[in-house]
Amino acid sequence: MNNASAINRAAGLLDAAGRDPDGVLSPAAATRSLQAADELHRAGAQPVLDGDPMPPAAAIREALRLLSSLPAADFQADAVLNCVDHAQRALAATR
Amino acid sequence: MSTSLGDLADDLERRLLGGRVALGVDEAAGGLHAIGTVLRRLATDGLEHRVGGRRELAGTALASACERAGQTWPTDPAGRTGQLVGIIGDVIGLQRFQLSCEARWWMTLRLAAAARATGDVIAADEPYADNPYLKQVRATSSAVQQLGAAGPPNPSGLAGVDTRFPNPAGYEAASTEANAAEELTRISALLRPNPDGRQPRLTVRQIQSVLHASATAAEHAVRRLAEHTSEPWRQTASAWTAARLALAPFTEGATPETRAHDPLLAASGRLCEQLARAHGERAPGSSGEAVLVITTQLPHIARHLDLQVRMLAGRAIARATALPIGEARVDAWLGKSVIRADGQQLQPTRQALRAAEVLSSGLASAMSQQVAHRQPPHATTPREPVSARRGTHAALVARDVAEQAYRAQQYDLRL
Repeated sequence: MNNASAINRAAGLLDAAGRDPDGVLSPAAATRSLQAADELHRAGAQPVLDGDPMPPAAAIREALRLLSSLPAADFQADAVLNCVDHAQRALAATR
Repeated sequence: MSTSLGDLADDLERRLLGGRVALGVDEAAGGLHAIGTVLRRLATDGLEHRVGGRRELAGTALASACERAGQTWPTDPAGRTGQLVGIIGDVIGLQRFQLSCEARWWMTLRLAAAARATGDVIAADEPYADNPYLKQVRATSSAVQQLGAAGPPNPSGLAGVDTRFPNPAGYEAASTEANAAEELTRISALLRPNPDGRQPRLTVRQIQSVLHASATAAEHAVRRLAEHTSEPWRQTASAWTAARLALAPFTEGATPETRAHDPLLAASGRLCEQLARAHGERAPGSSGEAVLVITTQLPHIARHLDLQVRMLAGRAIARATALPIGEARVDAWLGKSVIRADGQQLQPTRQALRAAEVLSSGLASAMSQQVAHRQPPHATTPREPVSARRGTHAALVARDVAEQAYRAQQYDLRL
């Protein structure tokens, strides 16, 4: 998976978690996920809509894992760092 | 009044990124130095079970970079950022034996984000843009964040972050309800037409975020309603949730027009976090005025969102299988394709929003009567009182919409 695909997939996962169609996520976690997805989307990511649905917490973890695999120079982009910060807060808010 | 490490971290984030205060270089430098000191303490206390592991090395490197950069500029000893970080350091010291490695790692990640934000404040000042110490802060902060993305703190180990204790000296937390009322007022203002009379063009994500916030605000207000009130207004939060669930299959079909920080998403997120803090605790001596401000905003927000949802036709996209089959074309549904929203597919969301408007108006009236003798001058009661019968009908409509959305979601999961 190249960098753009990883970012697009992460944006899709965070977006799906934030939309929370099952209504299982706390509002604080959901809004943080939406903010995380929005950071990537505003920077040009095209969130991926397909793929098997995942529980929100697992989706957030997977998005973080995908972003952590980016080269350090790409990871330092403001959009990625802001996204990671929101996603980590979203994951913490699932407690 | 009490607070927790989580609250303090949120306050620090609001201070640095809330957009309300313009930090000076001296305050940012003071904050950066204080962050370095606290990060070093966290790394010494342990960020993982293994001594000398990658988290500890990365945390220590960031601490050194912050301390060095913080000493490069004159600092403001009275700067609020440095004070807030100092209070966080004191609390970490007091809770030293109660905090788990995961909680310390969580706090390290929050401080890494704060270090980047304060470093960016100084770097925004032209002569310092290429300062090597600031570049090192950014690089080491990013390294910590990347480790945190690969191994985020386990939520089950974060109990210490929520432990409440009396407000430390020098720290005054504002009422969570008052803060929430302020955020909802901000949201309401952002939904109004621009000065030139044009409607703002909200993204799907912004609308979903405001729906989350409104449902949370309504739920909070209902909890503050006198227990003997058995009218349909108790269903207000469910109506907001129904609107959110009906819109949940949809997402952005195009890249947002601006790359700027989104104030609407941020305000909605803050409101949800603030009311999550207030959940379950009865504010002693609360006059209910903040809740009244919250409830009077909700009907207006519902009306604005109804218009915004109508404007999503042709822009929002969804997987056809995530919609009730009656709302998606059969060929698209069978082909599991992605479709663009039309007016009919957005109709359930709009029905739920109209129900939310009716119920929110009733809730505002009920709350207004409850605190009538203390009503603040800026809170206005709805112009037309809503009958309980109309409220009951609205609650039924919202329930139907929520059930339809739930059924569609179940089908989608099975496919």
